[in-house]
Amino acid sequence: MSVEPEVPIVQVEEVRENPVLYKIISSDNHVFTISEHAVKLSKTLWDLITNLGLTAENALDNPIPVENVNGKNMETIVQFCERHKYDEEEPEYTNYIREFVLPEWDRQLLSIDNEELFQLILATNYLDIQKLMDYCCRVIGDMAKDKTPEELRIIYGIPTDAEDDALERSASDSPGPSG
Amino acid sequence: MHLPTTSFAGIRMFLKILWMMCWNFENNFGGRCTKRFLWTLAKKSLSAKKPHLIRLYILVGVLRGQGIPDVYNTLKKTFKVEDIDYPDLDFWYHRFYSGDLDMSYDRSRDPKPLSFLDLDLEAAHSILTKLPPQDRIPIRKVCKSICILIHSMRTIIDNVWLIVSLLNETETRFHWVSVKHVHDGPARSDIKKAFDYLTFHLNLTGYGIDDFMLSFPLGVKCETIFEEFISSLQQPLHVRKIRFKLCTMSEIYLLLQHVKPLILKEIQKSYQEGDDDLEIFDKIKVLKQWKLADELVLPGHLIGPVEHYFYFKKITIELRELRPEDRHPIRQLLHESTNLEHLRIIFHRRFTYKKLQDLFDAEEHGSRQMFLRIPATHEHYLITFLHALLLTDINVIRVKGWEPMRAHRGQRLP
Repeated sequence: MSVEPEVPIVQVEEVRENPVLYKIISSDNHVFTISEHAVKLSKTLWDLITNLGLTAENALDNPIPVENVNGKNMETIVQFCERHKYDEEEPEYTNYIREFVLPEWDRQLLSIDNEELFQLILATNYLDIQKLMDYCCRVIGDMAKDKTPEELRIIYGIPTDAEDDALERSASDSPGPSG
Repeated sequence: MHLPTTSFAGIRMFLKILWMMCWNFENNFGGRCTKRFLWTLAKKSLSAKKPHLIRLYILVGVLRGQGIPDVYNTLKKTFKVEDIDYPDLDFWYHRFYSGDLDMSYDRSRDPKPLSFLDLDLEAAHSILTKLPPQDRIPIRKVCKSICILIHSMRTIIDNVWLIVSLLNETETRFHWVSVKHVHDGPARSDIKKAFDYLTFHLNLTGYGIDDFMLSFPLGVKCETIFEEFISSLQQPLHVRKIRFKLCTMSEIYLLLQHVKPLILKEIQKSYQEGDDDLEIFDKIKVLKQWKLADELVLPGHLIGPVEHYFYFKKITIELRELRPEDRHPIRQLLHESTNLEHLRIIFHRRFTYKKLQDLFDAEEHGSRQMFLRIPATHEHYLITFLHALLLTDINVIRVKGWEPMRAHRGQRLP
């Protein structure tokens, strides 16, 4: 009769309770703490961590500076990543349009004004967080539903082609810094 | 949380006092212009406070639980459109919504707000891909750069079905809209309308279709309309799955020619008989589009030389009669086709066990999976037949009953 070797069984919940933590500093010097599972959602940050060789021991002593993201956006991003860190991976991106309803928690998180949303999109794009990018884009896209081009111009703050041409012309006519 | 300094009651009070002042002034001093003069003064004072008033309206909207579009519509009714700045409305709405009710915040020191055009190309592209197709049409007209961006991407529409019905309507169904042309029987003008509607959408730049079904009832001939439809197509169709239901061979041939080959993955085909079917089918079989599809649904008697089907991974054969000339191609197909992963055979008639056994010589099967549909009423044939099959290496994975009418109409198998 063979005796099975005693292998310590690590419960998934235990692992969840003791995560490795990293520190991130935003452009306006706010410091955020984020768990390993959450930071993995950002490809940019995770690449940075692996390239810097940060480990569980030295992670908190070496904060990661993120120059392009301010504290407000970073707070939203950290909240989002912590919330979705154990989510299953989404199926590969396809070009199909499918019915999608934004979860209530994420809808609340993203109920911010357009400008903040655009800033968040830029930050998310920089940090390469696919899921948050997807959600932000859907929020912006939802605003465009059932709107006329004129309404869309107003909502997104886009000038008409004529206005745009006039602006370009005036910019090219005006003397530059040297002139 | 503290309440705002201005309220509706305050405004009403201010107007009341103003009115009383006018009244007293006119009584005391007379003259028509007094009231008008004072009213102009009041209007001036009001317009100076307009931004404050607009914020008040926004706050009321937030407290009432209205969305931004509702608040915007309310403002449009009260103020001139040029007085309402949407980004400003958006800013104040979300500020009030988050519980900050301070209306005296000075935005002039804030940096220049970002707009959609400040986003990088990747982000803008990502937003536009999330839009449903029907919303991409108006947004193309917003400005040139967005139009170019939308034209550069391909939208996949889920389903496009054109069903010409023998009942009293012809339906052109997109996944988001359904247009029915009511008529007494299949009138040509209504079929044309349906085709025109379809042409319009298929000619939009950057459109693709996941499932395209063209369906005609038996006996309906509309070759000229169909040819017009084909000639009006200005771009190849990006179709992933194409279904022909009781179309004629020439219709199938004409449409297949317009399908972009690499995208097509599945062809389903049932047809109504014409004069030169086999001749046209010979043309179809050499089409690139035909060869690139993975799955084929085919009436049994159309099976020709086996080399035309080698590249299909899934084949469904519908058998209405067992002719001696069909037997060899099917057996050869099963034996020689190395790509074939799924074979489904639908029996549309009652066949004797002897006939089935003749058709499927067990030793010659090469298919890894085989789906069978046999009338449930003929289980005794089925059991004996399966017994013969189970002696071989064929994996029979599904056996189901059969509803003759559904199968006859060419319904899709589960």
